[in-house]
Amino acid sequence: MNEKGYELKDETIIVHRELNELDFFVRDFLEILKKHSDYLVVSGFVSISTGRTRGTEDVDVLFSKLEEKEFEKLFNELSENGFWCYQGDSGKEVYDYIKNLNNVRFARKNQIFPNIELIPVDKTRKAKFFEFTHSQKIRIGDFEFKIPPIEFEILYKEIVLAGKKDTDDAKHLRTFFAEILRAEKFKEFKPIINQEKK
Amino acid sequence: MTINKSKELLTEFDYVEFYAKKLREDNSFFVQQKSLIDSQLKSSISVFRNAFGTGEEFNI
Repeated sequence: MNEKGYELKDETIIVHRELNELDFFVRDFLEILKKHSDYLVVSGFVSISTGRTRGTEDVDVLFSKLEEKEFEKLFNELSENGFWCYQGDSGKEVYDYIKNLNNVRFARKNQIFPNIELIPVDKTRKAKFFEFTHSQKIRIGDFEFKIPPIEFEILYKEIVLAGKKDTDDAKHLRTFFAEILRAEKFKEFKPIINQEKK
Repeated sequence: MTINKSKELLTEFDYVEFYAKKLREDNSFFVQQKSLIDSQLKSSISVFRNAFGTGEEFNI
């Protein structure tokens, strides 16, 4: 007998599906990243991993704005494990991007897509820092990772991103997770997200 | 897998909602999603491998 699409168990969302190739790519990257920094997977992958059927060229991942030496260690481990960076060949070369809170992209060697858009976060990025520090666990098979609260993700897509793809994603999340969405969370998150829009 | 027909599907937004409801109630629909995501990824890797080469020939 078929199951429901997901369940909420011990505060973790468990999606009842098999892993796909995009999941394996993200899982391999996060296995390395989480040894060096906290992280949060945001945006398109949150919708796709919960059932949206659309393509994506990148997977957005927030991480702590690291000091240079720490970032170099992360960069080296990614390089040793088959990832390359669009912005440069060494951590030292790429660090200016991180220092200035600019995003950088990594893909598997010899590939451009899919890629990870790595987004440095510190306290100055208020909305991003909020979601970064208020994560929701989600598990698909043996792949567990962190995403924003679903209500936050929905509002961010509807208010800040607001393109067609984003409003469709938000509709998907509102419908798929209808049974666990909390009205008080929408109320709590809306002013934080409205700040980002200014 | 049973698909109940709906007469109120008009816009793409309606289809997003329709599909999300189906997935929520019946995880067998994820099989088709996996197939689509895997094939899209395979296609894009193939396209860019042809465009930019592989190994030492890889060049962007």
